[in-house]
Amino acid sequence: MRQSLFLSLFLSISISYSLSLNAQFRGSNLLEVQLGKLPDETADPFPSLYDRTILNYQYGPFRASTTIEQYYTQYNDRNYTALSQASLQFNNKHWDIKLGNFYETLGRGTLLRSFEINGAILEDLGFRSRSYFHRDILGAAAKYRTKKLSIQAMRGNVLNNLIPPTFSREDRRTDTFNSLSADYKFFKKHTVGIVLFNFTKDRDDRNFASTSFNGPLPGNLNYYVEYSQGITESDQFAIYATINGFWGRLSYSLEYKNYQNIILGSGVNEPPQALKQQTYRTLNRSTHVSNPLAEDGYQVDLFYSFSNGSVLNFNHALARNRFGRNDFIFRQFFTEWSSQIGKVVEYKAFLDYSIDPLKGEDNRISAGLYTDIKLNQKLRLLPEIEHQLFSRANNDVSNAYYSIGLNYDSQINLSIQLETTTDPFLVNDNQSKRYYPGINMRFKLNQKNTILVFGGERRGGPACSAGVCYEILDFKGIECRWTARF
Amino acid sequence: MDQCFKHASIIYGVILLLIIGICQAGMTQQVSDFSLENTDNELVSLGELKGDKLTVIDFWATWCKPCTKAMPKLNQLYIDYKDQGLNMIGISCDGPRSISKVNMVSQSMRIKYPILKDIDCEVMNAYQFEAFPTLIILDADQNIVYVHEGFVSGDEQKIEEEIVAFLK
Repeated sequence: MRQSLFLSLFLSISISYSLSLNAQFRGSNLLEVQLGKLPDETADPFPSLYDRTILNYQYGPFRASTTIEQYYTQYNDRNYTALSQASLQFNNKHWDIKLGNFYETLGRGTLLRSFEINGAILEDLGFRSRSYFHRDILGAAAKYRTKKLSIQAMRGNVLNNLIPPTFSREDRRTDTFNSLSADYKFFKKHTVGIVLFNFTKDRDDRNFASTSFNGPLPGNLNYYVEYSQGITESDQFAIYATINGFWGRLSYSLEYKNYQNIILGSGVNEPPQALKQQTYRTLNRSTHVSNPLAEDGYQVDLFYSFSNGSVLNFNHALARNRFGRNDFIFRQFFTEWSSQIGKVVEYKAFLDYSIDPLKGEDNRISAGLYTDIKLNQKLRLLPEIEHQLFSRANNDVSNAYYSIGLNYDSQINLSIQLETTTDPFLVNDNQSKRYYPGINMRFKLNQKNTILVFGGERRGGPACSAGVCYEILDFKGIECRWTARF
Repeated sequence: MDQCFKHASIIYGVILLLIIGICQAGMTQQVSDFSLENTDNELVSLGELKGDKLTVIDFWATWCKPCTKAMPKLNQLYIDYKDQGLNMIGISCDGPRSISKVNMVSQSMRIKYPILKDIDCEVMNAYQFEAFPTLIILDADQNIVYVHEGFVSGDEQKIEEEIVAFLK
């Protein structure tokens, strides 16, 4: 039982010693302590501690890495200490070899996408255990590349991140794949790619093939086309195409998608959503989540930058889900204007109109204004406001977000925020409106240490980051996070 | 009891590593050479792009508002200091959902410094940076000499002060 301690000691001493031998040891730690609960829980608030430590050791082209996760509460069935990742990598000009846990995406992810959402801790309502939000691969990958050609072979088990580390590796990694892929550059800047992909879950074994083309076109244009097709089941396919370019100060991109029955296992793949990634609070929560079982659509994005630095952005997306004979068509029209008034005030304003029949939200109008006012050389005032209105099942629903923040020299950030909603799914019987007040503090101790404190009530719901959407649980209480790099 | 001891020993082990790490926090880290595709689909390496004296690397994403706010300011710094031994590299961490907008956004802002695409964000994650944007400054030996996370207006002055100090 003392082995772990001795191992850690041994590692520590050897790592410290190796620092003087031109090797590198680096790491990071994220520690989050919560004292709180779900707002509607009747139990007393309980303390919990989540910690994630990453340790990296690099010597020349070799890198060894481990991730240790821990979660402790008063409930034993949720608690764990787990070595959740371990890897060994070799990387030089031509070779990239990975063993253990790693991340890889094939093409644009129509067959395979792994990811890590920086700083996001996932808590599932069913298990109520917390773990870092990532989807990695446990296996091996070898890539050989030159300026013109790259060839990669991979085999691995993909993590089902909805199952917490309290479960066994077998339970969390039921999806297995093998892949062989190659990219070849022709006519200087054009690339053709092919992928052969085998996927196994339980006794279900399927083969896929994928091809992609990308490169520049005359008139400052770039294109990318990817087509993935099931070989075992011919009704499984994904088509994704995009073209982007610029004309003077106007830049634009057009995307098209058509996905049919292309969900692999617990979510090994994730075709591009072709929808704008929104960071505004109300719009992020309202994001349409793509359904690769039956979805097609397009997205148009336009940027115009003015000579004074102002930027106008317009986005339109349409996504059609066909279930049986019913079509559910999501439409979104978004525009954003960012500019400044003199040298003191900078602002961004947005207006969005959406129709989302899958969520039953009709005529959804959202608008907001984010301002950054320079009070003096080091102090800035940051008022933010958003409003959203829509109708659902003959009910008018409104959501609002207000925040006023102070930023001192990029070291200290303090904001007071309030969210309100009249959503019948969230308000109690005796309420007409629900309030979520909160205070956020961010303190950068130095270049390597940051403290974040939240106190109050946080509204949960869907959240999207880096193209991945997930569910955040409501929270009421105090939360303190320390992130450190060393 | 055994289980408790096992957990405690692992926790203490981690804390020990952490303490050692913190003790070593003053030591500089070196960025290893890496290769990524640029916006013209050409594979380029840090070795090919690094500045004679300093290299500024900006990790960003198209959906990150502080990132796009910072880029025109960084572009100006690049124009002002590129003849003094500085090069700047933008590394986009856009995933499959938004990677098609990297060219569009950088062209719209008329960014002059090279933009590279890292769809799995491997370079940024290898050095455990978590915030967008994160800007790092490397010296001629590729040692990280400055890190700046996040961006609000006025930060460009701070970054410029660091660049000027390291160029001397």
